[in-house]
Order: sequence, then C-alpha cells, then structure tokens
Amino acid sequence: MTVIPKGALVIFDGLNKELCVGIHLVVIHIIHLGRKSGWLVHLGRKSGWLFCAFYFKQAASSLMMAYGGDEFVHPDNAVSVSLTRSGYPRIILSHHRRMILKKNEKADMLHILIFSRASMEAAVRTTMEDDMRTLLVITGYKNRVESLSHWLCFSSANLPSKDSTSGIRMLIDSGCLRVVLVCYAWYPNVDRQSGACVESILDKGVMRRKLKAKSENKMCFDCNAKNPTWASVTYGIFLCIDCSAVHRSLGVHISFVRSTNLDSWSPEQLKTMSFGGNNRAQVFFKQHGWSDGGKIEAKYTSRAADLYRQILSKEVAKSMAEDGGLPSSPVASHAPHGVNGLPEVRTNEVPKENTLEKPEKPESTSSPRASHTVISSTVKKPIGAKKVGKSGGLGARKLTKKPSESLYEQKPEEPPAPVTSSTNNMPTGPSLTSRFEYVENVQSSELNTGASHVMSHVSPPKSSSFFADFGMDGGFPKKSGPSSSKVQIEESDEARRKFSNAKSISSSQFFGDQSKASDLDSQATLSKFSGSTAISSADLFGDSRDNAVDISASDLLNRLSFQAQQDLSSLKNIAGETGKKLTSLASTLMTDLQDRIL
Amino acid sequence: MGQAFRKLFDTFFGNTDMRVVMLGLDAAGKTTILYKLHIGEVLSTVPTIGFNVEKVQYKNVIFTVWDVGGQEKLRPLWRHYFNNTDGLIYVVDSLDRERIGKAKQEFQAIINDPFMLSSVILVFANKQDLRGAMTPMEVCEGLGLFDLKNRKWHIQGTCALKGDGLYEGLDWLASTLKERKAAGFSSLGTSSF
Repeated sequence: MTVIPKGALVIFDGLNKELCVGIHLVVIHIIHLGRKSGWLVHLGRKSGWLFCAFYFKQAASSLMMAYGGDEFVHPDNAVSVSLTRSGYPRIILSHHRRMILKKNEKADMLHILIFSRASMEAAVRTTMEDDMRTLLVITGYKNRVESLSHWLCFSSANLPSKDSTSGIRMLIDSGCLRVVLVCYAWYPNVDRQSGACVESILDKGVMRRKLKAKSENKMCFDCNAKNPTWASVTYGIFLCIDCSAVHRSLGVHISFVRSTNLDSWSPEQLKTMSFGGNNRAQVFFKQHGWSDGGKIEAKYTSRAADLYRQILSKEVAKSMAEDGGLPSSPVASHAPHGVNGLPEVRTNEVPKENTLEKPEKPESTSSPRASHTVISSTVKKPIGAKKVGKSGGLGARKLTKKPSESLYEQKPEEPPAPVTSSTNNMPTGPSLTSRFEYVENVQSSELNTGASHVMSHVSPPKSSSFFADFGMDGGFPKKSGPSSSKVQIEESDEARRKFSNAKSISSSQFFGDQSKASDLDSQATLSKFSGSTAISSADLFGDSRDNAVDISASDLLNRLSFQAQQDLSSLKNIAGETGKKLTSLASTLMTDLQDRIL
Repeated sequence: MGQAFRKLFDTFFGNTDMRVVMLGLDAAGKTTILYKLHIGEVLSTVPTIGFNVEKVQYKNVIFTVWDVGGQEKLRPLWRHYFNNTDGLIYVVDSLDRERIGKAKQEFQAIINDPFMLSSVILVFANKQDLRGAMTPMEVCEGLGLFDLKNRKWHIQGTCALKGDGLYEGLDWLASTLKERKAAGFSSLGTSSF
C-alpha cells in the first residue's frame, strides 16, 4: 500500500546532494510507513544522529561514485536506488534496473534519481519509458520551482490555453503521470499558512481507471473480447486490438481510435468516453436496428452511427463549454496569485497555439483540472522531517504565493511569441535544435517550427522573393527549354497554385535543383511539369546564381559547425562511456560492501 | 581477376542496400504500406506495438524498411532507429486534418535530429482515395515542407490500399539515394546538406 507505487525522483541542479538524498529517503519512508514516525527519525533515535550523518555521507558518496562526480547526468544514465534491508540506499545499475523491473514485483521500491541539469521533459521522458507513474521533483531554487510550476501549469487551473504545453502536460492530464513537486526550500519567505491545503494529488488517471473499471467497459464493444485496451473516441466505446484495427481502417472521420495506455488523452476525449460507454452505444445501436453482430464497416458508416456520433460530440461540447464558463476550480482558491498571474501571460500564446493545434482546444477548460497538484513541501532539514510528516502526510505545502507572484512578474519577459513563422529568432528555445536528444520541447518548437532549421543563421529567404529572383533569372542553365518556359513563376502563390493539384512534389522541384540533377530527374520533372503531377524544387526555388555563393558559404559554415558539434558530442559520449564503466564497477563494489557490512 | 570482374559486374547490376525508417502518427497507414510494398497485398493490420521490418526490393535497390509504431508512448523510441539511416519515409494520414499540427511537430523533431540531418525525406500523403483528404500540397504546407530548403524531400500522394504512388515514391528515393552515393554522401555523413 504505497502512495507512490513507482516513481522517479528528479533533483535539479544546485542542491546539496546529501540533503536531497535525505529528503528523498525521508519522503519515501514516510510514504512507506504511513502515519508511523519516519524511519529516519527512528533511525536517529535508535542509532544516534551521528549515524544519520554518516548515512547521508554514505548515500552521497555512493551517488557521487555512480556519477563520477559529474554534475551533469544524462537521464538515460539515471541511477535508481533501492533500500537494502537495513535501510541503506543501494544503487541499482540501469541494466539491472530493467531486469528487476521486469521480474520483481517488489520493484516498486525502485526509484530513479536524476540529478541533473537535464530538462524537465527529459526527466519526464525517462520516467515514462520506465513505466514509472510518479515523478517526484525535488528542487531548491526558487526560480526552478517557478519555472517548473509554470511549465507544468500547476497553478493555472483554468487557463484558456493550458494545452500550450501540450505533450507532457497531456500526459499528466491523462493520468499517465503523476507529478509531485517537493520544494526543498532554503529561502525564508515561504508562506507557511498556505501549507494546509495540499493533498489533492494530481491524478487524471483516476478518471480513466474508473471508466475502464466499469463493468460495461470490460468487454470489447464489437467482439466481446475481455479487457479491451483500445477505444474509439468518436463513439466512446472500448475495443480490443483486433477490432481497433478495423476501426482504424475506416479512417479518422468515422472512428478515431486511441490506445488506453499508449496514447495520451485530452480532457475532452475523456469526457467523451465518460458520456459514451459501451452500454449506451449498444442500446443506441440496438434501437436503430444494429444488433451485436453485423459487419463493422457497415455498422459504423450507417446513419445511426452518424447520429450517435453527433449526439455525443454535442453533449461533450456542451459540457466543455459549461466547464469553461466556471470561473474557478479548487486549485484556484488555493493559489489565487498563480491564477491571476498566469492567464494574461498564457493568452499571449493562444493565437499561435490555435494555428497549430485543433481549433477546439481553447474550450478545453475543464475544472477536473483541480487535480494538478503541487505538493511543495518545505523541509528545512531532512532531520526535521518528522515534524513535517506529522503535520500531514508528506508534510507537503502548497506552492507559495511568492513564487507565483514572481512568476507573474517574470513571465512577461518571455518572448511575446512572434506569430510570424518566418522570424528567425532562436534565443527562446536554443535547446531544441542543439539538443542531442529527441526533445519534444513544445514551447520552443511552437516558436521555432517555422524557422528552426539547421541553418538558423541563414535567414531563409521568403519564398516570394525567391520566386521573384527566379523570375528575373529566367531559368537556369541545366534546365531545358520547355520547363523553364513553364516556370516563369512570379509569385509563390502562383507556384503553389501550380502544385495544388500535384500528386507529388519534391524538394528539388520546389526549391531548385542543386544543378546536379541527373538526366532522369530533369526528364522526370519535365514530364511531370507538363502533366503537373509533380513539381521539383528546382523550378520553384530556382537555382539562382546570385544566391549560390551565399548559400554555399553558409552551407560550409554550417557543415563545419555541425562537424564540430558532432565531434564534441562523440567525444563526450566516449568519455561518458568509460566513466560509466568505471563507475558501475565501483558502485557494484560499494553495494557489495554495504551489504556485507550490515 | 575474377573478383575484379565481379566487382565491376556488381557496380552495374548488383543490388544496393538502403536502410529506410518509416514513421508517422498512429493509424497513418505505415504497416499497410510496408506490407503492400513487401508482398503486394493489403493485409488487415493491427496497431503496431514495437516495429515491423521487411526488405523491399525495387529495381536493383533493396530497401530495408523499418516500420515503427506511432502511438504516443512509442514515439520517444523512434530516435533509436535514426542512426545509420539513409532515408526517412514519413507517412501522413491525409484525412486527419485535426492532427496535422501534431504530425508537423513530430516531423520537425525527427528531421532536426542530428542523426537524421543527412537523410532524404519522402513524405507519403496517404489515404488519397478518401473524399475530403488533403492534397499533397496541403500536407506539404501542413508539415512545413516549403520552409525546408536545405534538405532533399519529396512528397507523394498515395493510396496504400490500391498501391497508388508507392512505387513512384520509392523511385524517387532510389534515384536520390543513388545520386547521393555517387556524390559521395554516406549515410553517416556529417553534412547537413
């Protein structure tokens, strides 16, 4: 009966690691022992505080060993910690971790520690990949708390555009992930008054689990197979994987299929599922003459299905609108500053958001969001944790007003989101492109998707001017007569219109062949042009000689910089690899020793 | 001597291997395309959890096509397939207008990955047979291909069920990859060209 079944602990930079480990263990132990006095305190009483101090030292040194004293740790190299029987932290190497996770049902004792400067997303991703359900974030810096809470929209319960941080945010909403933020605080001006109102642990998963637990939803709607893990959001029905295949083949306009455990769910979709349900759909289909059997294709393309779809979507839209109208949610009352502060800021992002995401996103302001929770507890010292623990569960405190206030001040400084996609300012999300990992940095990608190419320093010429250039140039050497005569395109609009009915378009057609086009290619483009089935970039973007110098120079620069980058990263990799090997050796030794000593 | 001839023979008539990874949002039709190419039939596929890999021979190029599941939780795993890849096939459900934004986001993340900087990009705008499908042009715009000037890309409207457009796409892929090889690009090349 653990509160946190499997979890990851993220400790962000700048903390005293011993203290972090201490907190971590205290938190875990408090959780494990429930209302009983904390293990640490117990230990302290029994063995004296000196022993405790030694314990922390030990924990810290083993962690240091695992990391080789390096401050930056890639989340992939995160170290999981379990407790030995005598209560010592034991570091589990990552390959063992996976094995243990697979085999051992007691694996819920495992926690990943990530000490890092890594981004939150990276941490979250690791958590997800390990099928951890809870993310425990410990951080000490105020600005970290602010940025984290901002990033997770903790204090922004009913914002119009809370989906702007979509990806991970959605994971959290959908209950795949639960985040507990523990604020380990040094700073004095923490508002202790607001500490009482925590306990609403964010758990969207509850809703979905509830839905799945309903007896009607325990069978596939189409074939009565047990424990369906897929669902058609359009009809609010649960399906097995085989029937989901049929639904998928119908196309999204007829049935939009999602996996209940491999996909994230928006609140809207969850609502659809709760309004729908297998029973209701069954009753409806029966009324309209569709019995249990029958061909799936025919059934879902029928008028009845169409009707049901409309009814359901109308209901959901209505209820979403109602929710959106509600001015406040529980969280709002807890953190008035956050709520007041953030909306203005976020609204900046709305238009940009709309252009990219579904149009109905903004209305997804639902109050079930009460569940985003920050448990930010203030623990002065790990040793003092007992007091905190007694005061209520984790000793958690609400995120204080301070951070949210300063968050409010801080926010507007963030780039006011240039809506034009062709802007080339990168500073907001430099991490995105330079990052080695696969980062789904939502915000920055939103900002930069338009312009975030590798050639960031070369401003991508606007297509229209490009075309104009091309028009002046009037064809390029490698192209043959007919094609160039066809390609007297003055404006991008015209060009695009030209392609609008094309079956295929390729970059070389569109932007201009790199003057290397093989005969085959040019012939193909020729023929394609006459038939307008395909267009090559060469024709669209021209091979203008004037630009050639520019581009090649920039290309060279680009290549150089990229090579340097790669070299650097490979070097880093090698260093990391050897470091890992060494440290793994050391840590196994250490853990052995630990076990033997105790 | 014999070997020399063999080599010569191979350069003219031998097969080239290409490693291609096929990605896209869930239910875009990746697996269907893969098996349409592989055995020429439309199989009824279940959602891919994990991956499928098949060899597809077209002309004298052997494509090793990796088809990776597109569910949200599987997407972080894509990057493990990037290394050493010659080409990317990105499959888009042309009917799914709502998620084209999402598709773009994933697409941009893929192509900006350091391992994918040298790969050529083939986009399949799938499900063209259905009414209301986006045209390749619209998909092109939706994915932001028009702003992608420093890469080799090609978008192809396809219908996996009938097999329309698939081989045209492969054609482009084969010729482009060959061209690249001739020009001295290797899949491990460091050029961001």
